[in-house]
Amino acid sequence: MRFDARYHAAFVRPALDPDGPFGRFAERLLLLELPDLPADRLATTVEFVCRRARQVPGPLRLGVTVLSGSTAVVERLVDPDRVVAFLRSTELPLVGELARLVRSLAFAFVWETWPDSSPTGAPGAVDV
Amino acid sequence: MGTHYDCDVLVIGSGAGGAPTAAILAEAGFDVLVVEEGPWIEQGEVRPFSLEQMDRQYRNGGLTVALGRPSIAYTEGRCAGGGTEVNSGLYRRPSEQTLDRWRAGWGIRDFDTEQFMTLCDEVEQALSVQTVPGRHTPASERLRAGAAALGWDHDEIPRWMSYPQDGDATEGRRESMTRTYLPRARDAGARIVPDTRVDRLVIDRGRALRAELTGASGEPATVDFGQVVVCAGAIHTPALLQRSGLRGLIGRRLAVHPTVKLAARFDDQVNVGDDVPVHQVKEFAPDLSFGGSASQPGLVALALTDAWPTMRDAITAWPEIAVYYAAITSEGRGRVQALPGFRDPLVTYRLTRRDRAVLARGLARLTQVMLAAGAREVYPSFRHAPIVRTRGDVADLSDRFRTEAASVMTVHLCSTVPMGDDTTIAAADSHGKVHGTANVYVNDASLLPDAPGVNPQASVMAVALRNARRFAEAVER
Amino acid sequence: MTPAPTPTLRAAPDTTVVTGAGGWLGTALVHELAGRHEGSRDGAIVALATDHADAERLSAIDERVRPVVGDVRSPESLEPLFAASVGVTDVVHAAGVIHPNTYADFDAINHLGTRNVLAAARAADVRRFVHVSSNSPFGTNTHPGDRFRNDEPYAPYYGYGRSKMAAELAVWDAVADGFDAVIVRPPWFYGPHQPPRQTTFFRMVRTGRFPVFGDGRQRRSMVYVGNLVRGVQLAQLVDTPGGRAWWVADERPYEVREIVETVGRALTDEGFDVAPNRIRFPDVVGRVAERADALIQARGGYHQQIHVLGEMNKTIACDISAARADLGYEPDVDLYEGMRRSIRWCITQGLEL
Repeated sequence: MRFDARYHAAFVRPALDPDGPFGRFAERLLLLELPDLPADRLATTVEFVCRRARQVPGPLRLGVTVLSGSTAVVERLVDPDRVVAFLRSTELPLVGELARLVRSLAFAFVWETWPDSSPTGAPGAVDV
Repeated sequence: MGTHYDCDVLVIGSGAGGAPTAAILAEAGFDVLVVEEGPWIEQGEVRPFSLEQMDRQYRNGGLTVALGRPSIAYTEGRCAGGGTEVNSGLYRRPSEQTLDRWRAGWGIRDFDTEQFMTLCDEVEQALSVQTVPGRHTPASERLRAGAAALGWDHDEIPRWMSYPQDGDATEGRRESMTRTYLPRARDAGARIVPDTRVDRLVIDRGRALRAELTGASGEPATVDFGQVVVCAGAIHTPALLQRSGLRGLIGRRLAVHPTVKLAARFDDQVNVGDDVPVHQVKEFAPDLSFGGSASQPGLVALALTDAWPTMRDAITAWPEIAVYYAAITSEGRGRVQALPGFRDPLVTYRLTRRDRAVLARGLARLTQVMLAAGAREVYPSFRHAPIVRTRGDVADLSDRFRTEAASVMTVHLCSTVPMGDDTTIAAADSHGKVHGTANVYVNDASLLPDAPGVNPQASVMAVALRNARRFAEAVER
Repeated sequence: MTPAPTPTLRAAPDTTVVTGAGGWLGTALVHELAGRHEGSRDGAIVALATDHADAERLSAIDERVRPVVGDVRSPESLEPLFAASVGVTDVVHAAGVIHPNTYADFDAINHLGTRNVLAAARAADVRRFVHVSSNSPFGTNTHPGDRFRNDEPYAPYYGYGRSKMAAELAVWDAVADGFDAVIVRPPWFYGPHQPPRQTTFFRMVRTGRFPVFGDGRQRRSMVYVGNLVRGVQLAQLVDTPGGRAWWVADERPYEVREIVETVGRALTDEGFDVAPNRIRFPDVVGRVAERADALIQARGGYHQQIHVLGEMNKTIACDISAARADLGYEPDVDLYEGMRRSIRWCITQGLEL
């Protein structure tokens, strides 16, 4: 078995699951970005984001895993909301990419799937 | 042990390079085996430019990126037919200057411009390359009108599409490889094996003997062959060669057409979900070109993401919004590096100072086209971008733009195994045989010595036909 | 390309108001308008000068020139300008500052001054307003092969560029209100009536000390002041819709090394000893100077040498095809001939080169 297959099974898969560190980060971020997205849509979106994150090329997947794993560690020391707020707005290279990845995937998914969404995610804002 | 195949010629990949290669060689009487990593999906089975298409027909779900400052997102097809199944279908011959530059700069033998253009004729015939007989999409019409208002050179790019009598742009059917060269290859006796990845070539003193494969559910297989032609695209061709122990100049000079984008809102509905504009603005070509992108609501949201706090309210107007891009011919270069233990290579790219300047000016000039086309609001895609409504606002855009803050992306990748007799810069010979090997050929976008400054599929296919014919003459069956 | 149709000319006006008449372009324009030569026009020239010395100099040109002393920063001082204008009146607004005493002068003179002149002109019901702009609202080209087209996005080059952009926007606002205004955009100009800083330019070339960056292949559009005067007159009289703008420059942009070489040749042919040019800077010096210029301007200051140095490694090149097509503009003086005329003018003025 190749190295990336092994580490994928051991670390990446759990880290990039909806209830893993990456999934939890995505959910918190989307609660801030799209506060009116109904709960079932939010869950579907987080699932989509996690599934796509597992598809990114190996070297990058490693980066996402390490970053979201680190946020999980930092969240034990600092208020999780403050961690998400920081990652949401930071423009640091690499670190800033985590929120960008989630936002890009989620926004594309939300408006492709529910094109009637309002800017905050509420249904029924556009006649389609 | 798994399945074992034998063949005269193994063709790896079935896109714009692999499909014509397979057809020409099978028709010349070779026993051809085509191995394709992705699935076989018929045209029409998946909605074009949708997330489902990204999922099923793109490599890594379309989430591939060349790292750098900024990183450049890129996409590659990963399915039978490769990029030809999923791209915009826009067809443009390389210019004579490009062919002269390639011939002289890389020492390409037997690379006559007139013969090359004859190959382009052949491609155009085979793919029914044509302009739209009926109506254009509103988004395409707007781009044309904006360029015309400024007096900037523009035209309609033909596509490999067939249309019903007087059909509109949205009624076209893509004449991709699964509808053209792959059936031709199969009719001539080629075997096509989808859902199977080539992990490695076993090479002994410059001669490749065997390929090691993995099927969709992980089962191994092997192929013994006389010759192998690698057509896995500009990223995975060099990665496979590197994994097989070939290094040298392979993967060192990745060339792309970087793009920046914007969304523009008009006074009436312009959004057509599953088609792209066919007009391009060529006033500044080859340095800089403008065109339109797929614009369904998800992609409009994506274009607004970078400056979401400023622009999010526009999203509910998506029926009136279309997405456009500015593409440059880049001076920068990138690298493809296979990493031991990883399935995917590490890709990096470095933009030069000039590249950044041309991207910045390109986005501003594209904004000017949009204003001239009657756009009510323009939403450039970069962090802290302003909404542009007037000519004065464009100054604000130029002032705030930073390449690092922009969503830079590309769909045109080439030049990782450049061809030519000059072994100081070319990794394969004038007809695609990798220097230093006896029977390893490359025949895809990797061979183009640099980026052609236009949609590259015409160049890729014409080069593939040329090299495949030469192979059929020179190699014993 | 099909040849452009011969443009239709309007009748010359009874009065032409020239602002900035004491300046380089303004003086050249007044000389041309008031000149007693074939093709010269009848009609009065009301010339806005900033001081009495300039006013006297202008009135000495011809009896048709009526100088008015005033300042574009002061709307009241512009009233006599239009009070002195009779009959059909056109305005050529050539007043502006390029190397000011302070940063604040850029906006006060170039932008607000333009608004003041526009307001006065509209109140006086003038026929056409020709605004003299610049390349600087558009910044610099991205690389030596790039050319500014006629309608480029604004990307102003620091304080001067911003003020000239704001002036253009004021003109466009007036056009949107139905006022007949057009814009002429000259790049770097040269030729007779030049200000003292241009003699420094000749001296630097003569002594071999003109700063050339990198390989000297950056390109510069330049315009001989006589060509520019011609372009301004065409913009005034050719019957086009309002709201147009044109680059008016020499036929083609020149490489910086070509400029230095040509000026050196012109000086030699006028009898000067010219030392070979020695000053070659790496490109990075230009970038450092540009950064310094930006810092100084951000703090409200202005330093002419640093500003010019910061601009010298850039390409600023424009495409004059729209002026050719719309106005029938043809620049008939080239760099060598224009520079020789300029040098001879300096000699007749007793200026030391």
